[in-house]
Amino acid sequence: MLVESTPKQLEEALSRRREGASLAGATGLTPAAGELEHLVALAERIERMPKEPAPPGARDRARSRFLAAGDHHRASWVHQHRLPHRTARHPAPHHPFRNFFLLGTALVIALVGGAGLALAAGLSEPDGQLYPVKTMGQRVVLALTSDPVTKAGTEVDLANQRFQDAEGMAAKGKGGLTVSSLSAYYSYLRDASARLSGKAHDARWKQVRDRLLAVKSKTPTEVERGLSEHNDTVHLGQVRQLEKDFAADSKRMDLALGLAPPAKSPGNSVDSPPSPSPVP
Amino acid sequence: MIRAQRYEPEALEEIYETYFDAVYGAVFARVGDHTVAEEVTGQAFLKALEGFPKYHHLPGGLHPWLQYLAARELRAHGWQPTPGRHPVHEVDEFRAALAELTPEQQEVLTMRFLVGMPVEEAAAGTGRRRGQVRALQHRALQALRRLLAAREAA
Repeated sequence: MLVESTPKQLEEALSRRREGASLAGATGLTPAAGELEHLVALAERIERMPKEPAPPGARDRARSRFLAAGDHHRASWVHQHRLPHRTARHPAPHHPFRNFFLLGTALVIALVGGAGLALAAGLSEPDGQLYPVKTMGQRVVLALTSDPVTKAGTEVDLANQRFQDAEGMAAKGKGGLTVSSLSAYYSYLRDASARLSGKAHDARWKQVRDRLLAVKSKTPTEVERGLSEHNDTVHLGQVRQLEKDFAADSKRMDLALGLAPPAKSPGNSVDSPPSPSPVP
Repeated sequence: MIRAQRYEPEALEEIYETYFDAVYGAVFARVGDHTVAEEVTGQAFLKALEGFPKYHHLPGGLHPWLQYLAARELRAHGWQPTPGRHPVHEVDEFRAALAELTPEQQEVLTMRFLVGMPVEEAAAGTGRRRGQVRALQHRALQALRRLLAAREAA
């Protein structure tokens, strides 16, 4: 009875044969030894089949085809993975001072633009688009001034400007802007007076004080007339109230600025406004 | 292999020089014809070029894969022993019997015995488990034995 071998038996027999065992020794004494001997012999017959090397011409031809195809694949691979950067057809010339030139141009534009804006804002009136820019710039200048006397001088100048603004707005019949400008005028006067009080009465101080008194002595007659001509009674009343409020403060300001109160005379009423006489 | 996947010429040349003779020899042993062996081996290497980007590390390395590609190319080539021609040599008779095996059996016998690969490499090259390779080679040798017996009887 023919007994068939198993794959495992065959593999073991092949291993033993490679280790140098005889054919009979490799297959052992298993019942399938007969078949195993035939199978191992067949495997060895396959191993002995002639493996001739390729003729030189065939080898070179195959090599050339293989490497040429490799070049083609490499070209595709490079195209897919490493696209070269495309350079511009007309690259921009790079001058060594190009950056400085650009920076200088930007600076000039900024200076010219800024100066133009500042000039336009400086000429603007309360009803102009750039008036907020003008007042903001003035506030910045004030904030950057640290010396109290100098600051008071600047506030006197600004008070004078606000007074002129109030007159201009009243003439145009713009009551709201007239009131706000006049309110700013009085505020600057109060601030300047407070800043001067208590400081050394040197020549510079006296110069600022005299300018303050000159600006303070202005009466809003033109303002009231302008609002009256436009029948703006509401804002006219507000202007008069501002004037009245300041009149009370004005006396205290005079005292703080070293002005002697007027000498009481029998002809003078107690309620009559003082006529301060500046201390020399 | 990474350099070969980038198709660097030096890497391709190294692969060719290392494996061409082994692949060619195995193909020639099966067909006994230099023209067919050159054509089949060349095609196998060209197929390998196409497969490099998808190639991942196999336990057996590049050689089993190339042998597998060569076996497939031989099948695709359609080579058969010349019908009706009386074998002039014992080897021709043996090749004719081998050619009657199934393609999978031919692949395994080629790798295991013509090329001399261990079971692990043959398994890696053909994408099979080791047990499957052992079973397949066992069946292949049994079938070859029967075919040769039938030829002798005829």
